[in-house]
Amino acid sequence: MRRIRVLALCCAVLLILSLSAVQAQVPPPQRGGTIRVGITQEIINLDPHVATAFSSFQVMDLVYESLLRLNAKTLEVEPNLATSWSVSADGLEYTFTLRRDATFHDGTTVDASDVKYTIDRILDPATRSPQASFLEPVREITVINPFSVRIALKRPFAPFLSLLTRPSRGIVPVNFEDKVGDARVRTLGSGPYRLAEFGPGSVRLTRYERYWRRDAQGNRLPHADAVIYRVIPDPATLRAAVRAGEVDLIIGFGVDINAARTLDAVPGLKVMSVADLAYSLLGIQHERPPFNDARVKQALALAIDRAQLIQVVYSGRATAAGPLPPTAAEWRPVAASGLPNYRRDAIRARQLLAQAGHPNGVAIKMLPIPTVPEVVQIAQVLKEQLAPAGFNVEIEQVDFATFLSRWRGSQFDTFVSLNSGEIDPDVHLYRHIHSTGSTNVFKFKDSSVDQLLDQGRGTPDIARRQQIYGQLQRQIAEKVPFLFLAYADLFAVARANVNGFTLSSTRSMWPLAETWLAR
Amino acid sequence: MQRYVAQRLLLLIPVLFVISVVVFSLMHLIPGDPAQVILGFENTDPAQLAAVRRDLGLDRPVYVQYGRWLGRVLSGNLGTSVRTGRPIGALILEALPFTLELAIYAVVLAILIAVPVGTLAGTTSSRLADGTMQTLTLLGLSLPAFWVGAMFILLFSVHLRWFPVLTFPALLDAPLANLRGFFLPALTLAVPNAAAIARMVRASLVSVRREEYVKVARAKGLSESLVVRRHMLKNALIPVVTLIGIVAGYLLGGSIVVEQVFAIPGVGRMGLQAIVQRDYPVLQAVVLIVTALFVLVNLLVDLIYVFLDPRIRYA
Repeated sequence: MRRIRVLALCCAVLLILSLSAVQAQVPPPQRGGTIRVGITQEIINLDPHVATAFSSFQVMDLVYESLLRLNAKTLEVEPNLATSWSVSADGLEYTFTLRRDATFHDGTTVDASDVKYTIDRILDPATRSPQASFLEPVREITVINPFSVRIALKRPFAPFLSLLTRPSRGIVPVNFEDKVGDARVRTLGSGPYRLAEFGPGSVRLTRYERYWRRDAQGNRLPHADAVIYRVIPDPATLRAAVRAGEVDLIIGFGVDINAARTLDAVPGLKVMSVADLAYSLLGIQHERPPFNDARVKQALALAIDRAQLIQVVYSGRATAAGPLPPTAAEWRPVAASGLPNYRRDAIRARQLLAQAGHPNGVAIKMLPIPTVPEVVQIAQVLKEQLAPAGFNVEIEQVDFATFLSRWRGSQFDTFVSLNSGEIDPDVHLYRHIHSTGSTNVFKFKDSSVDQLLDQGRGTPDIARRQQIYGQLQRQIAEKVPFLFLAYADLFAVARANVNGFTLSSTRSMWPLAETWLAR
Repeated sequence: MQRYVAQRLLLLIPVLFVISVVVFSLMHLIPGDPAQVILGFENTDPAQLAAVRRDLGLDRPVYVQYGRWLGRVLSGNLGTSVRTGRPIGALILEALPFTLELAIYAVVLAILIAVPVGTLAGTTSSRLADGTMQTLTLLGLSLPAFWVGAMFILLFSVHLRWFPVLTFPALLDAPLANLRGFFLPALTLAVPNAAAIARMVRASLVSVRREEYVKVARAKGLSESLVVRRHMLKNALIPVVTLIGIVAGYLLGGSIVVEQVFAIPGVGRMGLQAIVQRDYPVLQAVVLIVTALFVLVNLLVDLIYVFLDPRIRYA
């Protein structure tokens, strides 16, 4: 184990050295060319406030802009359409100053009335925006002047700024739907690229010439003339396409550790990696037997060996998951080794099961999400790990829509899936484990966890929030709302002539605006 | 003849009706619904789910939904995709050329491979040659398309760079590039079908080899190749044409596997997505179009018989 860690460390050091060596030789960016990105999921809907598919956001990251954004490397909140902001002492009013040079793709200036219209649109029940629950704390939006807008909240809401960083809160112009027609297939944003063609299996974006942002050297962005997303559903074909030079970049899905290793050895390709914010989890239904008994939940937690899981599924390129992601260093994530119920103890697990009335073990069903290949592998490893502790696991393989339906309806004993993580601990945890959380399909209810979550979101002071989430992490490990399994490394593979792309833990694609192709 | 064709076309109506009822019922029997897929993992609010279901008309009883759909289709409107909001007619017009070309290309390749191979196997007196053909065709039948496709891509696209992986320009814009781009997927589709057709050609030839008219032809002193071409093949081709018709019908439905492997946005992939996303109207439309094409191709095959064998008459 130690040898593997040392090896991994050496690899990481070598990778960093080689990357810095590459960076040292990088010539100034070249303008022009088309960046071709291969993705595995069909692009379905390009309405920023209604879409839910990840592939839709991969496109919209370049078309729509939100008030703020997360720095691709540091994950800190930074200005975007808003240049600055201030928060009232009671934490109830946020005032944003907008930049004056941002325009929508029809040439009109982005102003405060557009911000108000956007948030109103998301909150309007007629929009059917799945994002509405995130902005529920908003009470009122006031246009102070064309470039200044105030958002008043119903109650102090500490993670508010981080909620304004995504394309799903992308600013659209007043009367958006009248201007654009069907927003699912046509766009009108202020991002570096505009939609040129939405064809079968591909989307082509072309440079928006009046885009406001410049790179560090003062060059106008974006560098490339166009970006094409090609849908390649089969991961093997996706990898072949980047090898054959028919796409320039592939990210995440379809590029696991084994693919990354193989492709790294191919001349003309380069592999990038970063710790992913997304994590794998084992969900539990708390209202149904056997997990309506705290002892059974604890037994389940004790039966799992994350280190082995990470070796088998991710060849060691992952971190055992505590409740907060290691990338969110500001919030002092507690390492798995320091959390209760994280050290495997099959004997104790068996005893707990016996105390709970299952001396001969208990049969449970496990539902892996079918769209993430490694999740099926995780389910198989868990089945083996849980058996000696007395859990007799039956894996149920269903199609995606069935999975979704059973997930929504809490119709499962356990499920294995991948959750997109968040940098703010409130957004990361509240909706899943608060008794009123919008995605608490686990039916987990615990008053002290609820209380800590409510305190955490109502406290603006960062030091105080850190304390609260420190306490909460331990409570989560003890009470097992669900099992956080692993934060795996995220990989991307690019052709050697692709420069300036930053692979972000958030999987954001906006760094493509700063990407350029060497010719 | 016209009457026969008219009858066959009229028969299409009950076939399409029954199929649409079966598909509609099946889609509503399996779990999961489009409203849930639209909302995804972001939110589990039951009120919002109910609202989306209402927007899509999914809150009505299934027979009402079917009735509405049927009414629309009869007025020539296939409706819009519940997932993307795009008109289904346009979606199908986008996807169908890919599938049509792939199917025709694959059938042509399959025939080009199968007829010579089958003829050789069916007319040779060499046991070794016949045995080799039999083994090869069995291999062609048993290798799964996803594997064959992946191997073709690795060998011909990645290593040898003979063919592109993802380039499918329109046939009229760039005919050569188009034929080159579609070659590997068409060949992948052609392999198992060529094997099946070759075996059929061989079997048919073996059965006509000892017919009287073949002996007569030989006794007339005709060369062996002329005997095979003019007398044996023409008579042996009737069951082969039937098989080709069935194969072509299936291929028009789009080979889901090949379209997935080669990232071709054809009808097969569209149908698969419609199932995954529970996009009922899109799936209905895809099934109807594919069924109609299948029936039409088989009608065409029946008509070809007349030209192959003048004894066949449709009264």
